[in-house]
Amino acid sequence: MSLSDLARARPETLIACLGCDLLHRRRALRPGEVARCARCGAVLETRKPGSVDRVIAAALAMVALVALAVSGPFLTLREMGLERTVSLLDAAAALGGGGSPLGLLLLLVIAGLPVARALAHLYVLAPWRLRGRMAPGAAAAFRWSSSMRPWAMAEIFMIGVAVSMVKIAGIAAITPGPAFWALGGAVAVLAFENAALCRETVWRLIGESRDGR
Amino acid sequence: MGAERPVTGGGVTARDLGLIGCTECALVQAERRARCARCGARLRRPDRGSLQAVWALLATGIIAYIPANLWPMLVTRSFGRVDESTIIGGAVDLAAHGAWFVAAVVLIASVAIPLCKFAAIAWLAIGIARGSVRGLHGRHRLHALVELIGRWSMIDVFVVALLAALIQLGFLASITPGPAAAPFALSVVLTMLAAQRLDARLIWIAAEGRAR
Repeated sequence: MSLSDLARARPETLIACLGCDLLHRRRALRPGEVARCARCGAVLETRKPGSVDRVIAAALAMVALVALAVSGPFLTLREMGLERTVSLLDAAAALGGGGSPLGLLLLLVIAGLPVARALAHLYVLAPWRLRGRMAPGAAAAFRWSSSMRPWAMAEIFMIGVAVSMVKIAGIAAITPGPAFWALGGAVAVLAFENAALCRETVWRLIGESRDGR
Repeated sequence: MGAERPVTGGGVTARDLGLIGCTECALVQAERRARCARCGARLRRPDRGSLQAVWALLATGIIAYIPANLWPMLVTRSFGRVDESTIIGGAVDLAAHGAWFVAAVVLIASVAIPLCKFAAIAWLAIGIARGSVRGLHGRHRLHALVELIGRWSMIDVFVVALLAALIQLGFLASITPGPAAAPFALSVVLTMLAAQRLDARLIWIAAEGRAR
């Protein structure tokens, strides 16, 4: 696209690639279509069918599953007649025993942040879905949720659990409890939510709602 | 300007028109704004100055990685015996018990990924500083890969935390986190931040000789 064409265009009709800064003219996408940068191939925008409904459903499931995963019996250890069942809350309390922040940090990255992100998505999208407008502070909530995405580590924790189970096998017999499967389910739901969410679309909705369109 | 462009395939960038795309919501707006007009995020300019922060975070991350590997990650007490194992030592133990696959997972997550990440971030930052024009697509993809994979190094921190929480008094053995756990977690966090701070747009802008 030529320099003079783009220079005359209003900025809001343009889209700049976040991968390489190349300018493109924004155009309406068909459902299922993905717009990619002409130069570096990064995704500019997607239009995922049913995106908002799917994210709301996933967020609700996420809150329920993580609540179950945190409070329910996570693992049971047996060794020479001794039996011990621990929840993730027990595990965090044991780590934080000496006043160390480790237990709290653990709970935060595996349960706190995933739930907080899900609640933020509900806060942003549910009012739009039900009443056609955004709640106050929706932009701040969604920005926060995006920035926290790399720090929510439930899926990495699950791999850590698997490695721990192998390491412990020599010391004690170990069986996963319902909370283990709940967290596994939460990880699957998280993957579904990330696949369904198009950040650019949500920002467009927030912008339109603010402009009163 | 046209003569400078064959490398990157031509086209007009936001910088050419004094515009900037918000890195959070992608809205295109005047470059002089401090915060995005739509989402309120601080606008990140693709400037070489941001490399300073990348180098600082990367250097600190590498320094923290040294005690993370020299000090014990896991302290096991059983039958009055105290056993300390480092990250690599723990993986070797796993392999010695026949758990080859799990040993490989630990070694890849805790050793191979961090070391490759250090090298990748440094190489990308040097390429930008020198305005390298080679392998633009490859370097861009490498940056995306580093951002995607870097967080998986946390596996070992979770293993230590979980083992310490599970194997407590009441059992014949007890496990506590060793002094390496904190510097290791710190190293992962710092290099995650370094990768985030490295602006992929600079790879392309520097190749056009237009980086500021």
